[in-house]
Amino acid sequence: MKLKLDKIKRIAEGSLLPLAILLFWYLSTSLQLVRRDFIPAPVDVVAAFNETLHDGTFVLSLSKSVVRVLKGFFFGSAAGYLLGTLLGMSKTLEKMVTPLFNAIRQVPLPAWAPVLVLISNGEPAQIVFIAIGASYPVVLNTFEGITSVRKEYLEVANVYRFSRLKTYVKIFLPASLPSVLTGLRIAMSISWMSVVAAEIFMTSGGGIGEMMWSGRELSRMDIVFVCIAAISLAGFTMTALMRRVERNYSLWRLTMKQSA
Amino acid sequence: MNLNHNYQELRLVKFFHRRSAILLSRATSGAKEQQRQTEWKWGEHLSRILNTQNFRGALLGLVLPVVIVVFLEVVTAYEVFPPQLVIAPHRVLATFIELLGTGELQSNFQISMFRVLSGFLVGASLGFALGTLTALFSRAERIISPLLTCISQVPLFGWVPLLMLWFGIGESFKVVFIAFGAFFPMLINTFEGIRGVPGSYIEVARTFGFSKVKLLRQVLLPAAVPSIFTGIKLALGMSWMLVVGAELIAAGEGVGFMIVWGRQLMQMDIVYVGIFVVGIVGYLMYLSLNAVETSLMRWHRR
Amino acid sequence: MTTNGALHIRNVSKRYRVQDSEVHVLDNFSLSIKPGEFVSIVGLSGCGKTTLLRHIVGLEPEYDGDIIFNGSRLDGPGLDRGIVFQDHRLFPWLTVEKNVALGLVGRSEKEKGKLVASHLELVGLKGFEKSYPHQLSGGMSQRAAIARALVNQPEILLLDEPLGALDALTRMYMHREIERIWQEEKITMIMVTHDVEEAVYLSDKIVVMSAKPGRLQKVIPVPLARPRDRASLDFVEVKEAVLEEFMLHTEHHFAYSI
Repeated sequence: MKLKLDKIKRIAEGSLLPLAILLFWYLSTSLQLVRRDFIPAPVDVVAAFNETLHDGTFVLSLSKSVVRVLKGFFFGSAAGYLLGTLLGMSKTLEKMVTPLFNAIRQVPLPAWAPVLVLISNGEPAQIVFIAIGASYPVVLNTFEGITSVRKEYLEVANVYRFSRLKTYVKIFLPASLPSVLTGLRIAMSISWMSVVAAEIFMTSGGGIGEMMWSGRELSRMDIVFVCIAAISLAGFTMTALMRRVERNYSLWRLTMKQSA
Repeated sequence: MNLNHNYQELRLVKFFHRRSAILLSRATSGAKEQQRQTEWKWGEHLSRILNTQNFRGALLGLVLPVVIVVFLEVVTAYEVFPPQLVIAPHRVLATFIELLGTGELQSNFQISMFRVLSGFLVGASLGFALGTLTALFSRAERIISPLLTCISQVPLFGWVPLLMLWFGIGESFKVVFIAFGAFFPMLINTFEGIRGVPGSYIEVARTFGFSKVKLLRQVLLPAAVPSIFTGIKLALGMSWMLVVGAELIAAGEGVGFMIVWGRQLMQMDIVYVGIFVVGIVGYLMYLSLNAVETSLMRWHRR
Repeated sequence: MTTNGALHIRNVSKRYRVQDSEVHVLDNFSLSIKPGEFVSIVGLSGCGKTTLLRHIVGLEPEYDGDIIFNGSRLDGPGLDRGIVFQDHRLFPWLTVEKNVALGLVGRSEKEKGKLVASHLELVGLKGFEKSYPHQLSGGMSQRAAIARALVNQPEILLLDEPLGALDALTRMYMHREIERIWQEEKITMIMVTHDVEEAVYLSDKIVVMSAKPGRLQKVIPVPLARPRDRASLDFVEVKEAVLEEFMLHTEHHFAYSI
């Protein structure tokens, strides 16, 4: 009973500030304290959402961005996983590639946009852009997962004379999975940040970021608000899904640690 | 506080770097050792260094860049790819020297640096202050953190249209945008650093009857230094990324602008110089922060 | 009403609520300790000996009954009591010197330096002033922790299994050191330990506690001359007497369970 009361109190305290901001937003716009084209009124935002929902642009833009994110995420994490695994399993490769990888990683993601746009126009450039951003955390986490595999397990593999492939399948793959999943989750959250940047820097066949950008150019701040909310929510949901998967596996990791 | 983000990523980056740093320090300390022993036998000394595994490791790291440069030179010499897109490395180098000579590179670099530092200072100090506040007072955490969690869900580039509208496209827009990026990593790492201070240390302070202020200054903050420093590094990295982004979107000067400008003129050598410079500068910032960190945390168990 | 420096523990009880069940950690515990005495508290895990120590030092100020020190009831930490924990708890970011100086307040820099130096010498850490904790061995860390606890010149030093994390040989060496420090400082020491031999070697009296709830089972005086010889018959006899307390206890349970 007491626990429940605590929880209610906690939620109440937590929603204090957001509610105050909402109220302030509502009052300042309805009392005309701020210019409406600077900050749209809540009703405007709801209306804009209705409008774009009915003419189909909202769903179309959002789905385009979601597909783009998924594609970039997929290619980026696949490449990242491959590279991370190779670097983790071979000392020579690690010494050969790591310095270059670290150097390239220091280039801020947006700087790639002007080059990508020239190499491949529109959609592919955006996907590569997202993939670059998504690959880094996957490389790092896969590498960590693989290199922190306990020596004892590898000794077992040595004793039974496992082949490289078998060692990978039986030991490296399962032991590094939790860490890889963490990398994938981070990659997902980066992908969502990148898709917005990609759609701003490299306009192509639509997307929620592009819709936001054109809303800005048309001075339709209500549309901008709708897009920001949609992007945040979609990003949050997909990252939360990844987190769930990650958590399920980290439970398994915990039992592994206990038995170790 | 649970900000659904990747602000902890640097732990891994650090891990990655530590490996190479260890290799490097082994190589140099081994060399020093040998220098002491065989200072008069330079030939032997040199051959020993060349034979150490670590030196070979460092050489291995150069293989790939060299291969790539040679490949690009060959490819451009035979014009395998469109010559406007793929530029020979020696031409990029020439442009780099040319831009240095005219002073264009330096002035653009200075402007970007100024933006980064001012945005970083604003964002990181706010993040530090709020992180400390929410870590110390759980009521403050309960009130503020849900809102911050919501705000942190917005992808950083989602703020651009709003900030451009509210602050124009001038300096203040860029500084605020960069401050946004620096704020969250600093907030979360300060918070977690202070909250993660072992209770056993706090008990020691209690047996000596430390005041709240003394507890903060002598126990909580020093113990949180490693985490806070992670926050600083992440915040600075984020700032550097955002300055380039902001300059791509709207600027008349700065390194990011230089890249856009080169592209518009279809002078890809300028673009590549720009990318090269932002990469190198980012790396140097990272390395110098690492150096500060090691000297600050000599006490840290290695 | 009391002699200066004397500690009187009267009918102290402590209960914790863990979810819905109540844990009775201490039950009606009474004990008097004379100033300058060395007292060890031994008992099985969970007998409340560490809790008792935490009440005395003031880290857990809420309990039933009274702990009277220098005529007033203890309900919080104070500089008149120092504590050494099992884990040394030195701050890793401070040098040994600064760790020891940590608790010193309201003294001039010169006085501080003198106190720190003299206490480092007392515990045999002269020359390690500028070292960081990670450069010290386990035994040296515990010496530094003892110096830190003593630097305010408390009247009571509480030791919570101070040597529990050390290897057997270092431990025997540290027994001599603690005895020497106790004799030089002439203060009260109360030590919680699992190690019966350690208790016999160091104590004027040994308090045996029984567990669940934590009660005083027996107080065994150790009337042996110092320095003590672990192999002497008297020593072994006292040790047997302490061990007997545990044996008897388990035998009772055994008899009941049949």
